[in-house]
Amino acid sequence: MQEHGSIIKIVNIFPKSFIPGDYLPDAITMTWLLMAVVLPFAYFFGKNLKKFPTKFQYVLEALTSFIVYTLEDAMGSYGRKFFPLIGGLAVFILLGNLMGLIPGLAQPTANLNTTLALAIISFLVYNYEGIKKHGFVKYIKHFAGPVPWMAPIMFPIEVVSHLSRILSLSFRLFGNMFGDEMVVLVALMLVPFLVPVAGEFIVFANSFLQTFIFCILTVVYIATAIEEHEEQHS
Amino acid sequence: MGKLKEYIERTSYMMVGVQFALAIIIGLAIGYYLDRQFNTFPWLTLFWLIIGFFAGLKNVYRELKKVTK
Repeated sequence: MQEHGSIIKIVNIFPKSFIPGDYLPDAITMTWLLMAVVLPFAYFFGKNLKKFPTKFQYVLEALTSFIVYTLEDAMGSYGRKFFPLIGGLAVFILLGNLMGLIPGLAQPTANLNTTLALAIISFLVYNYEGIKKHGFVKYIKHFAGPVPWMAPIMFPIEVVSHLSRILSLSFRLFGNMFGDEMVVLVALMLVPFLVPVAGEFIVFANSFLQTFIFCILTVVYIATAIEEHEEQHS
Repeated sequence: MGKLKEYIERTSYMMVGVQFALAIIIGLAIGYYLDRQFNTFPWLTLFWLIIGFFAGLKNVYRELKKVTK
């Protein structure tokens, strides 16, 4: 992949050590680049907010209120607390996906380590919220299921099904982004004229879709972790 | 806004297929790891494979309960 990838992507910029050929992985340098662009932009844009929004500010406000409405739909007014988390995930994943369209840059989300880190953040948050809402003992007890004698069997089943959430979140994002990139590269190798544009369009459309799915699923997980006990009481 | 909530719930049905497969793989991985620790080759792998299978079924069941509610 590296040989063909280096045709259109400038990969392996930063040396990791003084040994020649030992480079930092793309995902890390691209994440740094993303941070270097987004953080100063967000800081200065946040300082200069207008009361009567400009066009660009209006677009950002529409996206923000979309996330807030989604959270309030899922969890009521309690959901507003999670806006920084979901907004941060959305910005990072969306811009990380779209980075692949710029010639010379690679996608940080086309690396399993990045997506696994994101999925683990989401996993830790929803478990933390569940424990905080119901208390540690009650939350663990919910894993054991309603029937007492089946508890030793139900407990590993629940643990495995919760672990599968991490993997399916991370593998979906990684697989989609990596696969799209490969489609573009293969098209570039076979028919270099005009055909890879179709592949780039797939990358463009899919990056929005995958961002939406990742964020919505995180919201759904947090909502179910908080709600689970209310169903049992009624 | 009620429409959006319905949509959010439907999005989680997209998970079921992948989760069913992944639950089995995770069960298999845990069982294989434990077997290599304790040198009891087939038994723990088989046990955790079945556990993983039922975990996948449980995921499907959880989503089905949401549909029929």
